[in-house]
Amino acid sequence: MAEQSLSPTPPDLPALPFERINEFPDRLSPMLVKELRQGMRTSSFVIPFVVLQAILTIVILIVSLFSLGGRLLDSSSIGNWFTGFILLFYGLGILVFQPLRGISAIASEVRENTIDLMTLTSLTAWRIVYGKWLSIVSQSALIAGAILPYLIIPYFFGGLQLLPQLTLWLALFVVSSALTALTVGISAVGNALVRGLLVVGGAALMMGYLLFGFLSQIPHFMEMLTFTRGEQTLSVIAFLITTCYLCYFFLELGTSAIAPSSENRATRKRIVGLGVLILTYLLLLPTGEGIALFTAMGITACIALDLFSERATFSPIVCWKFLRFGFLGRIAGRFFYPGWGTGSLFFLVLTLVLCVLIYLTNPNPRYYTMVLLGIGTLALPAVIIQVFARNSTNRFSSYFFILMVTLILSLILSLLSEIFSGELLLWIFSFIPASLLPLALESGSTTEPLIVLYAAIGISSIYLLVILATSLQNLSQLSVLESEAQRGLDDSLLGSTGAER
Amino acid sequence: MSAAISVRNLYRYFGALKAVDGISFDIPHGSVCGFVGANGAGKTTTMRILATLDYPTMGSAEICGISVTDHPDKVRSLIGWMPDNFGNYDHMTVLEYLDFYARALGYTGEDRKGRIEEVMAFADLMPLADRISNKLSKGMTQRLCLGRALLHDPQVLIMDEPAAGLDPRARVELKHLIRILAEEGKTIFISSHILSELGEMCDSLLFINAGRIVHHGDADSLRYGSDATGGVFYDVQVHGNPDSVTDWIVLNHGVEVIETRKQGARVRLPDPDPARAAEVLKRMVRDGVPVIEFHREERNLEDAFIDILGQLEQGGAGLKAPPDLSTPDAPFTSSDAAPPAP
Repeated sequence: MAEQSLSPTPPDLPALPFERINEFPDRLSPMLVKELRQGMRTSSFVIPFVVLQAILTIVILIVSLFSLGGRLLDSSSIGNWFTGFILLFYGLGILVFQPLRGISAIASEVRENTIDLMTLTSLTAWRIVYGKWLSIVSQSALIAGAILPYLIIPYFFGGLQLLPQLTLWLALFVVSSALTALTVGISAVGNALVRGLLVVGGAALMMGYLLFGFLSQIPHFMEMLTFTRGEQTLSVIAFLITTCYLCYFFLELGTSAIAPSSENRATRKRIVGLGVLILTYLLLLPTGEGIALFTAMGITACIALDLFSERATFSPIVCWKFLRFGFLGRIAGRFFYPGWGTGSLFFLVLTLVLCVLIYLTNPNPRYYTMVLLGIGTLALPAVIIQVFARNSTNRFSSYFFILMVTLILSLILSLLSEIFSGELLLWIFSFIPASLLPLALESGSTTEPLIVLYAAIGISSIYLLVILATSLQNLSQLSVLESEAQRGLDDSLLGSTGAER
Repeated sequence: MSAAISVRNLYRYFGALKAVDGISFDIPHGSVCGFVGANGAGKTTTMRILATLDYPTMGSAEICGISVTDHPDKVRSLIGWMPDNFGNYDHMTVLEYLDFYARALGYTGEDRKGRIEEVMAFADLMPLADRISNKLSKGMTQRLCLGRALLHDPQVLIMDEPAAGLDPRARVELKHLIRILAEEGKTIFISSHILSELGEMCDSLLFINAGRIVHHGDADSLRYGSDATGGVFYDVQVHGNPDSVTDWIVLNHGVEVIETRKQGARVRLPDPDPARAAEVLKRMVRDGVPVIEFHREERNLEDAFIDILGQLEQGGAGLKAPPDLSTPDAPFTSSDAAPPAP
């Protein structure tokens, strides 16, 4: 007894922090809550955030000293310089560092096998990918919000253009969201090489642009964002639509990679892509055919990236919705079922749509040539994969890698032909259609020789035919799948009729 | 009433590899079934199909009567899945980890809090609430994973190698938790390499080899298994001269000496019927053999598994015919399926 009374009583355990689990409201997506909890503690967010604040504070002090001294520069120049400086660091933060955080977002979940655990909850593949993206974008918003007060400071120095500056601030944030979607999406489909290329190459290009090109272009952006001309407003609308589409597209790309095979994510993706392609082309036409065509080809490239790399296996359940429309449904299925087989046919539709758009708006042979060379360039990697690497385990990475190599090669050829003033080199490498682009750009009017156009038609047609021929086997298997789906559909209809009786 | 887990003619091919090659089995509600097989035998593939994480090439699988392929969402609410290999999140505490999954499963407000408290208490995770989830020991991680799998109170638990890499103490703890869950009436389908442990906690064992079920039954039927012709082995010990056993056997047909031992002999009876063994013992005693011990030889489960594989390699001589699936009282039933139609 004495011993018992002498023994010290154990200290009370601290109360369990159950209240902490309610710090995020229930209406927030579970993925967002998880990612915010993790993301806000990572050094990749905390350090850039603090460093950015520290740098801007120091710069304010220095600029204030200059301003008070009233020497060297007039106050308006100081204001403009300071705005440029803020936007530069803001750009580095949200256009380089923040998007890069998404590059392993899904890959790490797949590697750690946690994606399966999430799949077994009520989280869909889309909610997982979207939550990942939204979390990084939310943290970018925190950075953007923290930068905002500094943008007002030039008011005290002079040279403040509040509306254009705020619009540019917002535009950079929108671009950051699209870049984050790109990295999050690629993290689900790209292999380590592609992701590495994106980190090194993409980040280097963006940093290079921000450091050496962006500052000088700020006045141009400001002028554009004053919305004084009608086509400027249309351009900004087209920019917003394109950026939103890119966000959607890359998130869908990631979603398709982790979604179960019974989910059809291809149909909506293709229809939305086609719609955005037409809409942005028409919206940008008043600004200029060149920019409209360039944007349309960019969107086509995104769609092609997905079309030629989609996995071809899917559950017969996917066919059910199409089979309900009978013969027409089956025909539509050939263009909208998931997989690269139907993707090849849809790519033909894209080509036709682009040609029709040019025909209806400005049937200049130069534009046809450019579009067909673009189509050929996008088809070439698919041809190489279909012929030489049909069993590639990661078609996306293969396609992306080959496309990048062909584009870089075309760029080098273009530079070489310019240096040596020789077209022959370009014709030798004409099997890479993009290498003929400099010749297409030179042929400025309808009276120019049409040889480049004929070459573009020839090369693109051959590539498209090869793709179609190699997709035939895949397409023929769709009938088998449809028969299986029809049986399942009949069974389920019989079952429901039986249940009703 | 349908079985908790029902698999019929299930096939899963990865290209030319037949990971699962036409298996069928039923596991009744409330039982614990061990799933045994070498690496690459098809255990994980089967379990992933049951957990709706993979799609069979052919055949059907049902959890509580619901098809895993036709209604994966419904099945997911019925199952708790513990994978063999998984990672936890950095910068996230145990409490936050469970909170994330509780939110993802649709729990809100006080329900969520209550459910988390319940599983944390069950899996003894309270002291770990503030620990970062990817800095836990293997045993703690498995308890956390079990807690996560139980958040939505599933009827069926599918556990792929839950004891792999655990130290002895963590194994005992896990075994204890599984026993409690079994007592609560949950159906548990568990794979492991540690057969002795499975034998202790499982009502039945399912052996798979090269994608096919090669044995089914309870642990006792394996421990006291018979040889290829149905004979069973007994250890007989006597007081005094050990030759008294062999001498008696020479004069009695139907019993065979396999090996003489220091205090008796290892003998073989041609019939596994215990009544036959009792008859032999009775005759020995009647004839004056000073028997002090007479018991059926027990094999460990690893030996039994190796024996089955050995018999398979010799042409499947030792394989028993699967029981009739329609037998209502069969606690555990299994059958090899016919190969698929070309």
